[in-house]
Amino acid sequence: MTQDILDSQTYVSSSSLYYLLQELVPTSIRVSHKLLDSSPSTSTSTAASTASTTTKITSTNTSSLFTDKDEPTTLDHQLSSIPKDLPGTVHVLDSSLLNNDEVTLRIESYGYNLGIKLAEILLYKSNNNGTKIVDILDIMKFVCRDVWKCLYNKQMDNLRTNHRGTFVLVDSNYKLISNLNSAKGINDTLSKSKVYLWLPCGIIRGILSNFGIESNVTAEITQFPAVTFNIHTSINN
Amino acid sequence: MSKSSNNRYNGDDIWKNNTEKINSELFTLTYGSIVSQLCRDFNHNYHEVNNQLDKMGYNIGLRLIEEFLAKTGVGRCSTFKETVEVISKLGFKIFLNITPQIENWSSDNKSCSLILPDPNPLTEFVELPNLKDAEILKELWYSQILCGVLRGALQMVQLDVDVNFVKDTLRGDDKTEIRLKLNKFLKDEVPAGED
Amino acid sequence: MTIYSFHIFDRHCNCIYNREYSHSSSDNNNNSTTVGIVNKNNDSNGSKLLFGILYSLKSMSSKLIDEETSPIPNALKSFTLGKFRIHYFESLTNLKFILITDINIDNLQHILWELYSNYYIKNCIQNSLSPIEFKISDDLKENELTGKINNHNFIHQTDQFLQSLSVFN
Repeated sequence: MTQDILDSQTYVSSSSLYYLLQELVPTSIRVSHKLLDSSPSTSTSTAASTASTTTKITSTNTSSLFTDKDEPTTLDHQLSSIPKDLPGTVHVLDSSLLNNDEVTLRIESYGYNLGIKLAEILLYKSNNNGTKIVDILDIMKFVCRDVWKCLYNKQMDNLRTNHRGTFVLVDSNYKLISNLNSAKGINDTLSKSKVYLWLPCGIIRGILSNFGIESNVTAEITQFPAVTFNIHTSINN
Repeated sequence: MSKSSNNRYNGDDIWKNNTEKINSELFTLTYGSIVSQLCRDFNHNYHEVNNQLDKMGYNIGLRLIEEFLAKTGVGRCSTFKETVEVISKLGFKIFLNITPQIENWSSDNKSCSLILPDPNPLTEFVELPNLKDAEILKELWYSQILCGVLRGALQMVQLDVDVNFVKDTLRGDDKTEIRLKLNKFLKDEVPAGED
Repeated sequence: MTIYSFHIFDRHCNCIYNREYSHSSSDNNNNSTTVGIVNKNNDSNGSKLLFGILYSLKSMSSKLIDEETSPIPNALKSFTLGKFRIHYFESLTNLKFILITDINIDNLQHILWELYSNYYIKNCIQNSLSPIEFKISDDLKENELTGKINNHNFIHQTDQFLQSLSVFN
């Protein structure tokens, strides 16, 4: 790790961040499940694909399913009403909600909000180092270098552009998914890993948004755990 | 291994030489965006937010304890007092690079408080919007995830412990205090057919 | 010297991993493929007997000393039968790692520690698609997926690690 002697910033263990980030997918499923359960009126559009699994609760008071007290988690109590969702198990990832828009949008927006704030802090720091950002290619380099370094202690491995606003960023060993391995085999590993990728997609979109650039970011797993991020903007570069 | 040998484990050494690190502001921002989105998702029902953070923490604790044991090689503690020392000087040190003060032991040595430094890596730059929403000050425990982590991790080493916040400087309290109370040492499970 | 098998029991006394290596002479010609069986005898009587004997020895060893005053617990590390030595390590979370070898291998504590602190941590603990509470289900198919360590990375990496040891064959 390179550490500027003038830089007074503090550190935490990277494990702490990864444990936190790994919980985002199950948490998003649990939150979505709870909200879809508790508000049938507002969930009709998103629940269409999962109508069979969503228990309709015809309560007029939508907040009635929200608790009014703090309940400490224990080993033998379910974490949600999703079947067999007990601490230490991974059944929650087999919920039919896994690929539901409610869940993926929620994960993406965790990333988006983080990206917006992260851009501000990193820009402030890199300005002090004399980094100049003048065009969109500089912004992409900023993502590949500064953002990735901060998040994953490594840089993006490749950056390509068609010069018409589309950029392709490749991380040949994407850290958030590199240890994922399902007992059900590679196809299950791939389909679940894809959901985890909405977080970095959101982060990239948030960073670009902080520079005033609207974008559409998607990710694909080229050869596990290599990930390709496709970024579409309307800017000709 | 025992009390005497546990004292040899040095949190500073492990932190300096054997821990991959990331910027703590990144960690703060990440946690902050999770809490604020949960607040929006649950329409500012802060008990739901606390509970969801507690569940995240509990799941993290179940896994983090194994990495902690593998990294430190720490032995079984002979008393709860020693356990809390290990939590503060090794656990908090190597994961969050802080060493909470241990205070306020009950006379039976089963309850004590961890006082988190202010600010800590979860709460740096955070200000609760107290003017907009009075409930948040009374109900939200912003760093509740830590209670879940501790409860989950201790469960795995056969300690049934109540862990909860009693004070938080974000609420205007004089300090940020986690209360721990040992309920019981869990017995090893016995194979079917044995007594 | 030979390693015959590798077992992991969880704190609920269930065999969550069972790996038996075969060492017949024809197999030795082909080092690239791993031979033997994975997770076939977790629920067998053999596994239950192995657990029972370890449980009894552990109980006995703790009764031989005064735990209150002894600075070092009287931990079970291995025991020997006529032809076999059984090497044992238990984590503070009550995961039990066991290697069965011939009697010429003295001490495998560091190998057991490596299996726990490196391979189990990386492939189960840090693998969000792997459970860490292994619930034994009545449904055989489900049990195969959630009652055992069954991810390819763990199996493959521990195989490679154990086979690379000079004591393996």
